[in-house]
Amino acid sequence: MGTLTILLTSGPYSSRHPEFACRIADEALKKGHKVNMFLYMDGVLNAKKGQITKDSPNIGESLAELLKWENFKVIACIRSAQSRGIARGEADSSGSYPTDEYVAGAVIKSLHELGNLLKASDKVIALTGGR
Amino acid sequence: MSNSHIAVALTHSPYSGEREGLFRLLVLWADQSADLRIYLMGNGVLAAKEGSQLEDVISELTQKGVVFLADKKELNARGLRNTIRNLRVTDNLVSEFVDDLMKKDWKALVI
Repeated sequence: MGTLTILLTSGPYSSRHPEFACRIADEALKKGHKVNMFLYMDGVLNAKKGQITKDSPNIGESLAELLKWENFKVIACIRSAQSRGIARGEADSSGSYPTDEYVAGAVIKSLHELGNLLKASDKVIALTGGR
Repeated sequence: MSNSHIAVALTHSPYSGEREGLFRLLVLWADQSADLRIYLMGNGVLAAKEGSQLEDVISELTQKGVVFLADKKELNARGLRNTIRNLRVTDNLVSEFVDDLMKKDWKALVI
C-alpha cells in the first residue's frame, strides 16, 4: 500500500476539483492507501465547518467524513488560512495553528509541511487551476 | 517516454484555457510509445462528444493504443449519448483512476 498526497488549491463550489479530490481520497482509502490532502490558497476554504449546500456535494462534510479514517490527514497552509481569516495566533508545540472554523481533525500548519508530505509520499497529484 | 505509463485526468472542458494543446502533447507521447489512459471527469467528458473538433485527434490517439475512459454519470448529466468510437464508459471512473495512479510504475496528471 502506498501514500498519496493531494494538493488542492481550488475553493469549494468554484470548480469541481474539491469534489474530485474527496472522491479520489475516498477511493484510495478504501483500497488501503494512506492519503494526505494539503489545502493551499483558496483550497483552505474547503475544510470550513458549517457549509450549507442545497444541491451540490458538501465539501466540508465530505472532508469531515473522510477524516474518520485513521489514514487520512488534512493540512492547510497557515499563510493562506491567515489571509482568509481562518487562523489566528501562534503555533502550538506540534506546529498547528489554532482555529475554531475547521471541521474536526483538519489542521493548519506551515507550508513547509507540504515539503514533508511530498518527501514521504509515493504519489502526488495536484488539483490546481480553475475553469 | 517508451515504456512509460501515464494516467491523465481531464477534469475541465477541453475547449477552455489551453487544454486543446494537451491533445498535441498526448500524440507526442503516444508516438514515443507511452502507455496512456485518459480519464474524462466532469466537463472533461465533452472531449468524447461525437462530431466535436477533437474527434479526429482522439481517433488518431485510440488507433495508437491510447485508452479513453469516461464516467457514465457525467456523460448522462450532459445528455451525451453519441460519443466517439472506442470510448470506454464506466461507472467506476475514479476507482480505476486511483488504481492506475497508485501503481508503482505509473505517473498521473490532473488537468
